[in-house]
Amino acid sequence: MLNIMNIGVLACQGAFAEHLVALKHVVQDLELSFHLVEVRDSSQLDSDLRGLIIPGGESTTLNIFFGQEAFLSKLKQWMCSTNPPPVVWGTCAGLIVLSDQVEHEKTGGQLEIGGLAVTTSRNFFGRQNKSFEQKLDLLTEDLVECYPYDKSPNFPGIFIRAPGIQAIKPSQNVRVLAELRGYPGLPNPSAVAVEQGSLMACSFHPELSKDLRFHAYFVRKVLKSSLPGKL
Amino acid sequence: MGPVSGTEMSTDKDGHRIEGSFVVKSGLAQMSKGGLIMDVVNAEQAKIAEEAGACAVMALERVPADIRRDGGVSRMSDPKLIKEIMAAVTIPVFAKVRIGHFAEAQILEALGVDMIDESEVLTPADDEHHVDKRAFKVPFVCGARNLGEALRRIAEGAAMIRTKGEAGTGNVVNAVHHARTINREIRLAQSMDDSELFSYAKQIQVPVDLLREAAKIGRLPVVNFAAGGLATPADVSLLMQLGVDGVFVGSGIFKSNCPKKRAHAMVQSVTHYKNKEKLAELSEDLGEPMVGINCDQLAEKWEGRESEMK
Repeated sequence: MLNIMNIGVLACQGAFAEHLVALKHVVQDLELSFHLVEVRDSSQLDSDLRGLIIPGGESTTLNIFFGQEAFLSKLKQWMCSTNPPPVVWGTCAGLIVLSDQVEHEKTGGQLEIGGLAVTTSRNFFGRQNKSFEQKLDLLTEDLVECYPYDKSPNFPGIFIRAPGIQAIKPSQNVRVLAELRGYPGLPNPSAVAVEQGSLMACSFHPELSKDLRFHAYFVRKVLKSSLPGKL
Repeated sequence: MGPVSGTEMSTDKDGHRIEGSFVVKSGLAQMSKGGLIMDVVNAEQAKIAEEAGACAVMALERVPADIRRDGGVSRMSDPKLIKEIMAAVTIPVFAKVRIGHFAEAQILEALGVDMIDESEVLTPADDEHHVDKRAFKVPFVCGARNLGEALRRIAEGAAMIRTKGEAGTGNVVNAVHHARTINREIRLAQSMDDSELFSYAKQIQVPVDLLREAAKIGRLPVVNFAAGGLATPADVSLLMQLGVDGVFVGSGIFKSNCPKKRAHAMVQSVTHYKNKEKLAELSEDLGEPMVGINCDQLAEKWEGRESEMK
């Protein structure tokens, strides 16, 4: 009897509802049978959970949540609990907590998960008055082609008080998935979505757009890591 | 609850950057969901709010309870105060303008605040018209008592709605009434067929396409928070269970006798609003809540402040 696996979205704060809706569409369209869960308690970080999205919201709010009842250490434990490890995807605030190095933390610092060999600057793209939309370039065929309804080489990037990936540590196997062109003060083009092993992160909000390809890419990644006998 | 919007991007054809589109404006509101936005009157309070996990702060010179107590005309805060608060924290900063005062809004936009609250808590500056919020790059949040008022503000360009409640009273009854009214009126719209919505739209004085949209998605087309009189973790849970996306807390925190503890508890209550055991723990030993005022003893009810041509 096959055990149905779960994909979760951390539901502490932020735009988790949009992620769940996007995942629901993808799971239905790809005819998969994952359960989708809102994660608010460390008891949900078990072996049935094969993927987790850490959504956009405020990373300082997430910081408080992480400090409650050792949630952060239980999360880190869960992230290495299986081989292959579960897939974790961070958007915006999620990118910040997954980054090995973070600039412009609040006074007193913030708790981090780390694991992604990048340096990320909080609120790099400024306050709300500098938030913007811009078409992004998708760098991999896997992303362009992963969903039946959309094949464009571009992706709608929506940046809300977004963090900026300032540097990527070379030789750490970090793959750039999407780039932004022509932003003053940043290299042209500049990485806005990355993947490293079982981790994924982006500084923009795919869940606010109608393009489901990042969600499809994530779900396929979760599926691959859940197949029995996979090394 | 479905998404507020999975939207078509509004880029120009050359793929250049677009700022201040409705997608971008409503994006900030969406990132605030599941969070608590706290009124703060100085940098020190702003830091307490950030430390407690607030997802944004509302900068103002006096909390609503004090505006009520002092009387007189209340206006937009001094930019010096707003700038101090913006410099003190790394989370978004909201600030209030008087109803219809588009010049105060232009000033706040120039200061770079993240969102403007066109607020009935301040003394209205225009008795007939609200600000045309579409003209601004900065997003606005507005108060509403019912579906009609909410959709009228959205038609003017509001990117976020909150219940008006009765601010500064510590009494949640009005916020609950407003939240329930919006829910009931949306359900009523959903029970109607297309031909009936025209008359309902006329009755509640809103554009029919916005009414149709709300009926289709079963909620307001923008993020909706509770505000006005929330003072305890239980109040937070009540409003979240009534379907709001998050909460504003004003006088309720800094007028209580242990603001840090209460702030922390109320922030966690938004996350754990469905968990009775957690809420019981969070409600324990919080000190004295703000005393509050009974709404039927109020000299002036602010919820009635809406500008319209007579």
